[in-house]
Amino acid sequence: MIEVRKACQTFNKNTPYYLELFNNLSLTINDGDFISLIGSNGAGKSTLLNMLAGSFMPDSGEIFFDEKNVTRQKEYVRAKYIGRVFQDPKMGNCPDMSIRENLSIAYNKMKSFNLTRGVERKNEPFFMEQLETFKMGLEGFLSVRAGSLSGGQRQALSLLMATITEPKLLLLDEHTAALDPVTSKTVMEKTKEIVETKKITTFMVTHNLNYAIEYGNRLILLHKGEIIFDVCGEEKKELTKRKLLDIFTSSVPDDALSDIMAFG
Amino acid sequence: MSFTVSILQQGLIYGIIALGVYISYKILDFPDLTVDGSFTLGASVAAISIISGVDPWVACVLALTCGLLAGIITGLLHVYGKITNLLCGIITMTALYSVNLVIMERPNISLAGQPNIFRSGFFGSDAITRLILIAIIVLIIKLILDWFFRTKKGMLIRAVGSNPQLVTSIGGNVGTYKIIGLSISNGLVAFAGSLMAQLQNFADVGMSSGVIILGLISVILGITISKGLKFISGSTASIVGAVIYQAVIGTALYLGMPTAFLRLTMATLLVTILLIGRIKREDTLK
Repeated sequence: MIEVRKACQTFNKNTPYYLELFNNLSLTINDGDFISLIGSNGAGKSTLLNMLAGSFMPDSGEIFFDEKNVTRQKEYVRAKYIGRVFQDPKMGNCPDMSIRENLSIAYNKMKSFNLTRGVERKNEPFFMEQLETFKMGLEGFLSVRAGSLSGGQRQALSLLMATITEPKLLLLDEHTAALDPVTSKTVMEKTKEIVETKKITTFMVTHNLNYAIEYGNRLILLHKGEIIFDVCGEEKKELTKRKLLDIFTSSVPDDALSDIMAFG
Repeated sequence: MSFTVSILQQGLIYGIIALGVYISYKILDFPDLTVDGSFTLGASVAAISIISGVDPWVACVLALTCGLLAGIITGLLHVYGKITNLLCGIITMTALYSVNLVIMERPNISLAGQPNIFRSGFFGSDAITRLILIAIIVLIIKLILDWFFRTKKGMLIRAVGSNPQLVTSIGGNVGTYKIIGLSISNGLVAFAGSLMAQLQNFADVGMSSGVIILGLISVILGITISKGLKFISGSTASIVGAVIYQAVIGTALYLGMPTAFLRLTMATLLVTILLIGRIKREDTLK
């Protein structure tokens, strides 16, 4: 179980651009949850995700991973039990290294980074098997540099790298936004499959309402730093795009319409 | 003959510098100017040790250790002081100039008649034997580096240069790996300095000026000409680059180019290589 307890976050303190984003934000993520987080620009989606990842500390409040307070833990320490896929396919792997080396680095995550061989041949069948499930033909190109892959292939590699050690929490930061619609769908389907088979608790930020409705067991709508809607289970299954838009417009009367148009 | 041998001797020692610069510039993506001080640091530590009666091989190890420390200082300034990479190098390089003077207690030390690794008994002392010894040392360093950068730790250092976020994501401390990389880089350059002092029989406080550009030329030259040749690794390319560089400069000086033109030639050479590299890249993009 992952908990955010009374997190406060402000920006640009002591300047005219002062912004209070989170005011006592609390959120509980249950084991096995697959959460889609939506919200208009500036709602705080990325800030929340970065806070969970440990990219920065909240001004106040605490973050717990299985009852363990990790608020002050450095990002790289916390990263041991977090998998993360970024919007930019380039962020998840090393362009100069081969697919084999990239997967090896990711696979070594839970081991100590010592002076034994970084690439172990015995893992190769496992890598090939994993790559095959993407049906992109990557299994035949283990020696190819990651930098020479297409955006979709690189993102598929990033997704595999982030989940190969079965992290406790998977953070997806609009990870299909930079891909064409077909590839985007493929990566999304693959994400679902991995999350379900490996039972990874997942937190996905998305701008795509259809994906938010279609995938995951829980949906959270964030607006100006507040959770204004949080559904799960059966209720989530019955959600339609129409209903979601209605909820959005009724809970945020004024400027919401322009926002929602942007991500409809 | 003796001309070729002397070119190869110096070129191979420069090859060690090139390996050091390859680590900082190419692997870590950190243009580290510290090497402009750590080369002399190695030379001066080795020289003062040798005239104090320390075994020449031990003197080399001491030089290497001091270089490692110099790299750590630059790394600490960058990682914990949050100073930009270029400035960190300039700061340490500047400080090292004084350190080198303090170590040597004078601007230069002659090692004529002193024991050195080329005269330490089981090796002969003629030019060819010296060359073979240098070649063996360079080969050993290259093999160790190639091995190291394929280990779990080494692979993370490579990743730091091309995608620091990935290193953080898999639980590695980017700062630590940068410091380790810079340390190895400067350790190698200082070691090269200790060899050069023993080869030339003197250490001089000004001997490392221009080392960074020498290293850059070697690395970029080596990598540019070996582009597309898969069987040549970056480390080999850097060593080859250093030898070619020394051959070009050595020949030019031999043919009577005034030494005043040396730096101008170096700068022109670097620009030429960079431009050729760019044209080559644009060709492949077409």
